[in-house]
Amino acid sequence: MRAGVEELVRYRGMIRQMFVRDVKLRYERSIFGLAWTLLNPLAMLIVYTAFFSLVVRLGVPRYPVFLLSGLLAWNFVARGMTGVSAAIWHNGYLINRVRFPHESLVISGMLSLLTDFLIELAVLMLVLVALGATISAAIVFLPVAVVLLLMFGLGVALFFAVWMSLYRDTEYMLGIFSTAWLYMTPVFYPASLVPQKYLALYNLNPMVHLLSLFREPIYGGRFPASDTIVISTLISVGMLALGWSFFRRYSPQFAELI
Amino acid sequence: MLTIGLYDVSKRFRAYSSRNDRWLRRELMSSLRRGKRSRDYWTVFENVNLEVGEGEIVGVIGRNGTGKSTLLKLIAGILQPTSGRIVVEGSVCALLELGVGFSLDLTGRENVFLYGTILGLQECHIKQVLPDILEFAELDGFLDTPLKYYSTGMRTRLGFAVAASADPDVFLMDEVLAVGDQGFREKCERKLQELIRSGKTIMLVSHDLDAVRALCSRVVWLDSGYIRADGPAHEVTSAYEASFLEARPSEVAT
Repeated sequence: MRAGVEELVRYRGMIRQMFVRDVKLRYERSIFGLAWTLLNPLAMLIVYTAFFSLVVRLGVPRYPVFLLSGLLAWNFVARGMTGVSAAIWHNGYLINRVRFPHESLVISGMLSLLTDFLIELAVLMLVLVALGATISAAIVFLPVAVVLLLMFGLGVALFFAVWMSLYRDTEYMLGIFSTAWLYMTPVFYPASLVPQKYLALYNLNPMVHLLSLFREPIYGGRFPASDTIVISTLISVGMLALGWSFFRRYSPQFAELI
Repeated sequence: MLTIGLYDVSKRFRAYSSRNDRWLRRELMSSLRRGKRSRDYWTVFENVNLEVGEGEIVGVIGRNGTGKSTLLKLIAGILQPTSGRIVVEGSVCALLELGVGFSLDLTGRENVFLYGTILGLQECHIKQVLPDILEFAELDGFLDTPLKYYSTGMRTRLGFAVAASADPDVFLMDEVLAVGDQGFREKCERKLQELIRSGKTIMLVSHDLDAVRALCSRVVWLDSGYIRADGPAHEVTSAYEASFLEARPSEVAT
């Protein structure tokens, strides 16, 4: 594992250059690049808010803030799982001709996602202010939450990147899986609506805890509970370790598999 | 001193009829049909042994599909051997194709950094040798133009210039001499001579026997799955040429 870290440090320039390329192509070379990033969460906000406050009345106060504080973090992980995980599959040509640590493709992809996510978070803060909400001091916790979410998302992306390169089916399975996972996560509704007898089962979903890291400071105005922080840290470190070791086991075969 | 060593190396590929066959369905079917157990493997190398010393310039020749590129990929670590052991001392730069990883929407300058770091160069090193790279690639005035407006020749020149600025212990090259016009080709060969003089170990795959004779002291001739000959450049290339003359009459006979 140490050799793996050292190699990635040696190739940090590549990770940075690939990240810079993605950001440049997205934002600098496209007039509406930044606008799209902002428009996307705003459009989702309008659609979901309309649906969940007019049709399905959940009775959640300040619903737009509740929704976005969970949805942005969810989108980050979901896009890592379904989008970034395809990086290995899409770069088969490169993998077959140059030797480099394949993780760098996934890492740079996650960093681009992170850029979008941070911009979206900033927009959310503006929405908060515009709605007249006071931003609590608990938002100083957000950097920690972002780091934990990034570790978890990276672990997920590395894990599924292997499956993507093993079987073409994975892409379609992930489509179904991510939809199911979304509805088992308190993104649109509060976890308090889940029946008591299913709660233990429901809490096995790691995203339940990771979302609290964002929702508590942004929506609740308080720091997450200490056991939430501990559980989330264990989940994130565990997922990253699992995803990365799985990735490293298959990485030498990628050139042949793809 | 030894730089590259291959000991009893075998390489088999699983044969897929097409890349679309990587579906679970096929995987399940083939495990159900396990009874027959006639998994399709395609052997590229069988127990190959090869040692290359420090500073040696080795040419690799052979017909198409005899595993020349696979040999370089194995040494570079892009592919893993099915069995056997491969030892490589020092850092390796494999140039199987120039400019892999270029991004057409980025400028020439940006691509120098992107491609350079993909080859494993450090950003500070690239910054240092940037003037040399640009001079070698002869791109005056096109530096900040996106690569998609470059001609094929310009892209190749840029690719070679970046690759040649790498400073590994071992260079693996696959047909990289077959680039550009006469003038640039000569320039590439001069650059290669320079690398040779600086004591780098080089393995060079080429169909251009004149270039191989001019640059290499030793030549390895690959035939399907094994090393048919390994020795002084002139001897092996002549034998290789002779094999084509031999083959012809039998073709007429059949």
